[in-house]
Amino acid sequence: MPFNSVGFLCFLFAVMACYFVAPPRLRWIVLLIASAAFYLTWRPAYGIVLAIPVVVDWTVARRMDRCPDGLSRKRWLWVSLAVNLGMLFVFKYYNLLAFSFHDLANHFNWPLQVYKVDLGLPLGISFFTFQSLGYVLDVYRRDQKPERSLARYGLFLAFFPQVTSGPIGRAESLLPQHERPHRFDYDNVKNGLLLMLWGFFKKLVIADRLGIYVNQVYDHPGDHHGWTIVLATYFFAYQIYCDFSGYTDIARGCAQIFGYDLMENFRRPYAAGSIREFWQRWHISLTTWFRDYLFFGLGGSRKGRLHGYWNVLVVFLVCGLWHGANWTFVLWGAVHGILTVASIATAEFRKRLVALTGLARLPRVHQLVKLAITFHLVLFAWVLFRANSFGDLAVLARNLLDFKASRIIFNGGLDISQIILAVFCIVVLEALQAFRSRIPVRTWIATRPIWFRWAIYQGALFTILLFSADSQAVQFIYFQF
Amino acid sequence: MRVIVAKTFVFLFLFKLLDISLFLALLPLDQRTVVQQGASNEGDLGPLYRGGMREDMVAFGDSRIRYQLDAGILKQTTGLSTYNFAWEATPFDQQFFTLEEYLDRNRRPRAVIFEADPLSLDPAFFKFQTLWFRPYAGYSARVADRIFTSVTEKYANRFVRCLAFRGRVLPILRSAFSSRPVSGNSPAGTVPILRGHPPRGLKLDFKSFHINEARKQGFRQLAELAAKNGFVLFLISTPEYRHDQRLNARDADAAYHFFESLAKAYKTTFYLNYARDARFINQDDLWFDAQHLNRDGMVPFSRIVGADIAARFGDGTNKILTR
Repeated sequence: MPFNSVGFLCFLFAVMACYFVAPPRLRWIVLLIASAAFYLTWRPAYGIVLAIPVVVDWTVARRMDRCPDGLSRKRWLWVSLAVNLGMLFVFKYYNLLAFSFHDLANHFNWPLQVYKVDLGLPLGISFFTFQSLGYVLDVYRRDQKPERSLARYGLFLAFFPQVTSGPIGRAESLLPQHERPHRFDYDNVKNGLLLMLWGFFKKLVIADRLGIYVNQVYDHPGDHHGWTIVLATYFFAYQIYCDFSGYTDIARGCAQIFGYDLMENFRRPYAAGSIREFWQRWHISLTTWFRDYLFFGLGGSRKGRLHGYWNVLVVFLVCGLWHGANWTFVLWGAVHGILTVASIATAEFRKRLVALTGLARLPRVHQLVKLAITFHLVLFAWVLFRANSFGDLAVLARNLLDFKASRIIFNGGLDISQIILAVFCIVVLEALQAFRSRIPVRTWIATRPIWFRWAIYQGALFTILLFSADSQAVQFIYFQF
Repeated sequence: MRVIVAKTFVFLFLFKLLDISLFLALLPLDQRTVVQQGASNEGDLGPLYRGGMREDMVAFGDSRIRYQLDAGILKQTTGLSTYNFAWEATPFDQQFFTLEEYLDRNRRPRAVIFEADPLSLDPAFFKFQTLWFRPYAGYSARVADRIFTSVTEKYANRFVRCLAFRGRVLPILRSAFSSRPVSGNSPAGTVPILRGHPPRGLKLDFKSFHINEARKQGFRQLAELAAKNGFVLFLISTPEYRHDQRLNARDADAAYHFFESLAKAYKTTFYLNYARDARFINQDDLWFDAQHLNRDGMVPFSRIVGADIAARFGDGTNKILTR
């Protein structure tokens, strides 16, 4: 039941009705049942995969809390790590590694037989595994008290707005929310629905429309050249942003209706002035997870500058691998790692360069230059992310430079008027986001007269209904991760 | 609570009011769009659903028919008015579906050109593109059945009428207010094939394909449809750039033999095989890419096909042509 389906809207309104009819102290049980039903609609067997970290990590955390010494706590931590990462390995990475070794062995004529594990990829496995691991690590560090109720812990992992693609919640902020009785709050419901509407606009009107063009180009890289690939890459940057941030807005809006506050996942990432800043604005819940549990776990930058750089590289390699079982993702992570290290290492040099060129006296121009450079570096990395394989990447790299044989626009289900509409929507998106960074749009709308507010609501609804891309429900990109 | 319920009802009432108003405003424009879309002969299905087309010959296929056979040139060489419905990456089942839709609404053609690419026999290659048919779901029960596969979508379209125009408002407005003439065919040579040559050293697709029994049965049904409806069916295999590079020769031969056997079995079916036509396959200057002739190749190829069709039209003795 994807968010961008009528089925989900019916489900949401049914859950809302049950939730607000139930007594406040029992409302979390309604959410638990709804979350279980929501997850089981994808494929009932995967319910077991979700149940394993729920039971194991809940038990581990409680046992860990009772351990008198650090060593036995560590043993329990290893149990949790083995179960969670083992599950991720079996479902997500086994085939990649097995067949990579197989190819390597073939290359050297070594006899090696590998077997394919065809279990499919349980939805949201990377998200709920990391969320659960974060909880166990918090309990291990004594930053978090273990949850007493197994059912509440189940809701913490399976909460339906976030189970499929995050944001990866933290126990310290989410668990207390599950314990608190939530009363009906008109403003929460209204603001939640508005946030969902904004998410649907990003997903259905922008991302799905751009996706038609991007898929045509990146799925048939041999057929396209020069400007077509360039345009498709620009489009992909906004497709993935609108797709994922649209999902996050729908998830956050959905949670807000029930009185929950999920963490913000995006803050205008393409307005970043450096790669380092980009990662402070992009997929914040994952970035902060890696920072708090992996980067600091490896020692951060405490053991010297070089060691710090090495840790950054490791974090980005793992981040790349987290995104998918394909070496192109690892390469994407490596490139971001190198760019981040370069961004940190050259900070002083760049400062001097800015002073030398006189850009320091023109702060707006300087900001614009930084923004453009960062955006294009990110864009370059998106090519690696979107390419289906290294073979496709090679074809794209070769065809990208071939500007003679290309026309910029082709009719791959997206004619010129649709492209203009997509570009216009991107401009509206960026303008609204820039406006929001000064004045919260929802607060601003709330202060207008009722006729104006309702015109905005109805207008937004009809814009989505009429201008959403004409394709059947397209899966969110991050669902595959 | 009462205020919230009251507000919700008023909001929903206004929503429905706007929905109906927009539907009523867009419907006549949409009908006009459906009529006009075929003006450029770029594979648009508009004229088909307008009904009353009186073409002598219609062509179905994927990009290899769309870009390599020019309806205008075919008309010049055969004397038969021609409309080309071919569209990129169209699989056999979609072509057949389009033909059935055509026959339901328009005058029976005298001849039908159908692509006989070996890959047409393997359903793994292209998928039915429901996207192209979406605009016509309101005009054809068969299309609605094919496109609205989910129960929710069927109901959503019923309750929120505006959804019928989802994603099509711009084309509707553009076509409704433009003054493009309604015509069946564009002049010869205006099919938008690009000029260019195949990139040197391009690695072609060596993927082997598997001839599917259901697809073979589909082609038999097509031949039967031709016999039943009394039109002549021309199955055409278009030239293959450096033939054996794209296709596994053995598999390709099996496919060609199948098409030949079909032409032998049905009186009204002809098979024209240009896959290894020496006038095209090794002439780099005639190709845009590894699968499509460029303008310099398309024009002579359309003339040759037109001449071959004209020579065979009404002649049941010379049914198989292999170049």
